[in-house]
Amino acid sequence: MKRFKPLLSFLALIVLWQAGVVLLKVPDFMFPRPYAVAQALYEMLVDGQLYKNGVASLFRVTWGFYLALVTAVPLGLFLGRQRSMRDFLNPLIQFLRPISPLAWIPVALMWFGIGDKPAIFLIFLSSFFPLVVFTTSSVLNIRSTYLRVARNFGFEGKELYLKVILPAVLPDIVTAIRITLGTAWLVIVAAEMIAVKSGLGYLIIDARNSLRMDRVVAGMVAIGVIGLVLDYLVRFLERMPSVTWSRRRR
Amino acid sequence: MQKTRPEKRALLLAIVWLVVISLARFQLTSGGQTSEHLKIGYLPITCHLLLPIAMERDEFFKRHVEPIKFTSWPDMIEAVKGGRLDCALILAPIAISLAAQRVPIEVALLGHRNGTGLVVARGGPIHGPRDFEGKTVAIPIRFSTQNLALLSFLEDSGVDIQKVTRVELPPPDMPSALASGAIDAYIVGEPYATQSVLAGTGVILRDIREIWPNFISSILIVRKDALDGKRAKLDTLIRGLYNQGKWIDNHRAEAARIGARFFGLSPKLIGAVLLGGKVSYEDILPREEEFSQIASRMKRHHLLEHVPRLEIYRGWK
Repeated sequence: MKRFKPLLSFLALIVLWQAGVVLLKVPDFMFPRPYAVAQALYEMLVDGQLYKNGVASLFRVTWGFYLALVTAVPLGLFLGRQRSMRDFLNPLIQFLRPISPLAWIPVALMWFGIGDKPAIFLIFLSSFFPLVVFTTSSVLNIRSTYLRVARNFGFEGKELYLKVILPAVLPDIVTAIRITLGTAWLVIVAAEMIAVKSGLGYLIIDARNSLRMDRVVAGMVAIGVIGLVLDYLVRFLERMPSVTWSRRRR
Repeated sequence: MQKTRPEKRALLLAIVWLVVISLARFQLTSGGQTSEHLKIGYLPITCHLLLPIAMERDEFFKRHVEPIKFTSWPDMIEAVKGGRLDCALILAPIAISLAAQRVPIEVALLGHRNGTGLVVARGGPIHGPRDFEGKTVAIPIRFSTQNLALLSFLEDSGVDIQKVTRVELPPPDMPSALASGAIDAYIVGEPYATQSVLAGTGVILRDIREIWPNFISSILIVRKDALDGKRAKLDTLIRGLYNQGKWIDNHRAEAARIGARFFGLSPKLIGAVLLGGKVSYEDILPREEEFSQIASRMKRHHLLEHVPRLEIYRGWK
């Protein structure tokens, strides 16, 4: 029974939706019925629109997010250990972090033109700063005992980072990944509402411009489903022993 | 046998995912346009109908032109500024203001003439120019001839334009904004004026020809740097668009079908606009005095600091 509870909540949503549309006599062009949306979804699945645009969005998120991950985590590890660099860079990072990636859209368009690059850049921005901040603060919170023991055993440099610091902060990084990936997926849709010719955000804008509300809502459903799957996959990371140790300790 | 550690497996999976999604993306985009193609920016409005017609009927366009659809003017402005487009169909006042900012562009053609309507809510409070005081009117963007036309319509009738609220809205949003009562009127390029009429929610208070005869909305601009490198191709593109203009004027029903399919809009709607004779594609050669007229109106309404020289490109003929 427990397994079916999530399904039940979706079923309830659909029933409420249908009832609301029928009882309030909402015309289709204001908000479509669930059946019309299912039909639009099926249509988009068959003609390949969903696949093509889903791949485009996932491609951009993957590259933007990976680029952020491989630059932000090393930077965060480094800043966490280097007081002087932290004092120097931290104000700058804290200044840039609250600027919404969407505010960068005009700049991104002018620098990178049309297509994948500006979207990847926006995803990168949305993930980079939170990842740096998470990693830095996580390094600062490492128990001093670990570091002292490591020093007694003569760990230094690369060895210290790979054998002590990285394992110590890995649980926090995985949590950060889960949060920032969710944000990245939020941003991609907005980023694709600017001059690109593909992606799920484009699909929605295009459907809206051709006055197809059923396709707009179908696009929203697709985005939600993929977001759900992404979150589910990242939760696998949280079950790795090297991540769960911190919870077991408590 | 030692089991692979989960971290290694996760890393491996992450890399496999990167490869798979990249390959899928490249497989889907390969065989598409290359940088050799001429990039032309447009919006789905009848003012830009020359492009879909050329894409459908002209072999040169099929092989050498990549149309890039925008949904808002600011996005296109940035793409033009950044040099990402070789040419674009863009509102005349935007082009003038880009020229004032020293963006290297020249005008080659007009998109069409007329094809704009001032729409008010059916059964609403507005029956004439004087009723606009205290009301909200949507315009596409302040840098539009639609905005200038609205201002001169109101001023000519002695209305204080400070008492009329103007809001900038994307054209596709205007009919629903009018229907929901968020705005009292709007002025926009077709087909978004006719859309409210067909839906029964709006009436056209004035056709643009009553306010501004031979009205210009969008124009075709080319970047000077693109002219330096790809002049022959651009000349062919301009000639192609110019010739389609003559064809549209004689084949309106067919043009409506092609345009509706390309823009993803209802054929009935585009048909009503084209067959209603609301637009003209015949006289689309730019004339200097018309641009200086637009520029001086812009300056009067503080949309320009100085009147720039927007050069006309005639080398394609």
